[in-house]
Amino acid sequence: MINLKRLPNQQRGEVTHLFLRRHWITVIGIFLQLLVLIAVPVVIAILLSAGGAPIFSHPFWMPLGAVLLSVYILLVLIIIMTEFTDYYLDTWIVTTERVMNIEHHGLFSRIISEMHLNQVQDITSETHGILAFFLSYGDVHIQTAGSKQRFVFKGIDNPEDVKKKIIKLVHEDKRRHGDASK
Amino acid sequence: MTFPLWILLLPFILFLFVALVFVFFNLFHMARFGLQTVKTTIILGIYILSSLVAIGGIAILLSLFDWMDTVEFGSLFMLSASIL
Repeated sequence: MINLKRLPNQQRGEVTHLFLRRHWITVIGIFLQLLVLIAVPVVIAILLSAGGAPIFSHPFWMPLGAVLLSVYILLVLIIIMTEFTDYYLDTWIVTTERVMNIEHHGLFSRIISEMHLNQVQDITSETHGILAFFLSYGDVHIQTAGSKQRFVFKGIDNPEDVKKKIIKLVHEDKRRHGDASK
Repeated sequence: MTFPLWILLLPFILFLFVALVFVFFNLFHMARFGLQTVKTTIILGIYILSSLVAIGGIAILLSLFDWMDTVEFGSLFMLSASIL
């Protein structure tokens, strides 16, 4: 497990200031998806019984329906579990020294990238849409000089506050280590 | 011509194996890469519990049928005719 007090390659005196995940609206989306997926077989069963189909007493179609329902239950379980794991493990960590970007893509792909704070040249926060405006979530883009590398904190809570905190940490870091963004 | 019902369970068992592999990897990733907090432990508990509930429910559902029964091919099309 990841311990914020013992990050990989942690330097002496390095302290974690921000640990970010996507906004909780993502979890609501996963939960709504679960409700819809649960409702689908219920609706199909209601429609079949309302239509008077003799499927529920048939010696072949009824067991086949049970097997298909079992497959569906397992499918829903792994879809929801994988989506939540993806949400939970996609994280961004900002310390007094660096920014870490940890991303999961499905179950078998994990990307960890990091940049030192004194390389940061530009930070932008973006909020698009009515829901994002009212719930105050959006993206933060972190750009380094020269290179095309750009970190994106996607759908995080309070992007404006996060931007301000990172700018403050960048200024402090550049005072300690010098500006490497020029 | 007849065939046994348990034939339906063969592809299901294959899918069950694949699903268990996915559940295992989700649990493994959460335990390996999750943040060391109580929240992660609770999520792991929910994952294990929901998997057990799903598999238990499926076991109960499938136990309602006698899978050693045989079905005649002809009876499959009788239903189609009755629906139409």
